[in-house]
Amino acid sequence: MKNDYLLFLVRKHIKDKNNIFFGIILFLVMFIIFIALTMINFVFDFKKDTFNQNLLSRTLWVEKDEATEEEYEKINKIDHVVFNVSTKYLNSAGGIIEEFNSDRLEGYLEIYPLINKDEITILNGTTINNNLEAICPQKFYPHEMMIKENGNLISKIYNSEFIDGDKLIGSSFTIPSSNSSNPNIKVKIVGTYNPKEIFGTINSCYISMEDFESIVFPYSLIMNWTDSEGNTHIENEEYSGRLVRVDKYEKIEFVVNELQKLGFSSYLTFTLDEGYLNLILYIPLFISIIVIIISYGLIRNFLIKKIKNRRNNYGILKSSGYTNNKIIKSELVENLIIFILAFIIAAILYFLTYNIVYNLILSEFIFNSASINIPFIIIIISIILLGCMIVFMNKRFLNKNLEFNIQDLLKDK
Amino acid sequence: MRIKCLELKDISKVYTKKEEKVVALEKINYRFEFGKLYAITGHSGSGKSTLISILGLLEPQTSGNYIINKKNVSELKEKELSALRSENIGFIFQDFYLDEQLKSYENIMVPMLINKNIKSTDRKDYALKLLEKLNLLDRAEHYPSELSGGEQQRVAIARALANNPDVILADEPTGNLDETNEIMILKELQKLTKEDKCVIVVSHSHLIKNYADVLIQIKNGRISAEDEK
Repeated sequence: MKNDYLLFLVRKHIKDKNNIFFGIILFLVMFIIFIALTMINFVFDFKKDTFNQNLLSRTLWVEKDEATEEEYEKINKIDHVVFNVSTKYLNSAGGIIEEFNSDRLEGYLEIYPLINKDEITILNGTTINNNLEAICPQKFYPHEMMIKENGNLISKIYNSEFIDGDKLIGSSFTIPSSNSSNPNIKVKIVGTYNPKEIFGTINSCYISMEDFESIVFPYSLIMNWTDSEGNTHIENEEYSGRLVRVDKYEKIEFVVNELQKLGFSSYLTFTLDEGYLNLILYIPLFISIIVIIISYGLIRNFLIKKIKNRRNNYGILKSSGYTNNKIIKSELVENLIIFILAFIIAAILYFLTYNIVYNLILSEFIFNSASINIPFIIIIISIILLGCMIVFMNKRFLNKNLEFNIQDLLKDK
Repeated sequence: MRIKCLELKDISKVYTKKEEKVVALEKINYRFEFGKLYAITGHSGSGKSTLISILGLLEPQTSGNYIINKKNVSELKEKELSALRSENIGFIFQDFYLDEQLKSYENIMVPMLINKNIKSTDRKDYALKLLEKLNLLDRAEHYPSELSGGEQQRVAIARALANNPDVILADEPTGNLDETNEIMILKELQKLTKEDKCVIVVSHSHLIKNYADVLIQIKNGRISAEDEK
């Protein structure tokens, strides 16, 4: 066979103890890069999802002293405004639902009013068309995010404990009323939705606005909020102002300006603390740059040392009739095999780490429908670049060394 | 009948060290024939090792023509030179230069791996036959570090014979051996001439003259004497 020598030489030389060191360096570099890229990707995804998907991030609290209904009606005419409703719908009704209570899941649900049917895509069944109907997540987890175990607050979500929401379509559950003058209500699940789509929690069900009003105390809003000047306001009064939903996050500024023209002041009901996220972004970026610089130096030195140590061997091969190309080929194949082995081990360890971190430590993110996606394309591109760097360096150093005449190579023992 | 093995025409070799030119060989003309053992002798620095390096295509001459297998090597490209080294020349070194990570028979197989004329299934058998020929069959599975100097040199001879070359070149093959081993190696080299091979040995050993058919003495980069038995 034409390439018999490759198989033979690589098989014999790959056990070289220097290769183990090389493999460990490559494994560490790849593993750190995988983790860093995942973290960077997560921050970008999280920001994107928060602003583009989360309904609250494009919901404004709009106020004007002694505004009339006619004035509020004008808000609906502003471009990109989806609706404007009473601020009481900003609330949610939470509680233990007996029907979902089990050994592991306490059955805790967050109940929201479905203000605009078009905002939530139904995956199975139908949307809410009548009172006493509900839609719940397809991947359903009726539980409080934080549970108490042995006195410590922990957050754990196990894939095996998710409930298939589709199987619950047609079944009913009772929502306890927090309004003493109204009874509990029993609602029927008519459809399922994907909470990721609205960046909501996986224990949130929606009911009609009328049902929602009947179970929450209608005029008891105790609100504690801070305005743009930093003044803290505590209010305990009837709901004031309106909730205004904007269709796109990037149109908020436009809507705020239009509201200002109408004399309304407005505040975002949800803002993101980007400082914390940027920290998650900059740490892996910094680590990646340091790792790339150090690994470049380590890989370069290793290859130079390895080639220098093998000069005598190259001399033997050349004196036996091996061409420079054949020698370069066998060295490249040897290094590529080490590269692939390091990649496989790094990938396995990365997936294990990913699963442990994602499912056990970062279950809070799953709960809030935030996904930590594996950036496959970026990872593959970075691996290809790393591989190319090794091939390029290896070829360059080998060419330089093989330029020596055979006697000089042989003497280098 | 084959007669001419290698031919040197006005071969010179000049090394340049820090702008200073050192003439290692000066206009060497010689014709080597098959079936003979040539011993090249001379003092250190006389140019004998340079000569055998040029003969083995391990380094190029500065000027002149070197004809091997009817080809002028100065006109050949790297690939063609490699093919000549692989098919026509077997080289034996003073320091054996065996691959420490390979067993004896595997070291012998290395040149065969790029020889299209030897089937992959025959390589090991052929390597073992060569070891048997050199009375080393029981050392086939040993690594170089487990062999004595004489044994290592015999493995190196077997490796030089792997592709059945016409020309065997040896640079001080007994330089690191005791007299018993030296005699054994020289006898092995002499045997090769019976197979119509052209054997050229560089040596400063006094024993070489007992085995050589032709003694060539090099002095100051020139052939100063030639003695044919």
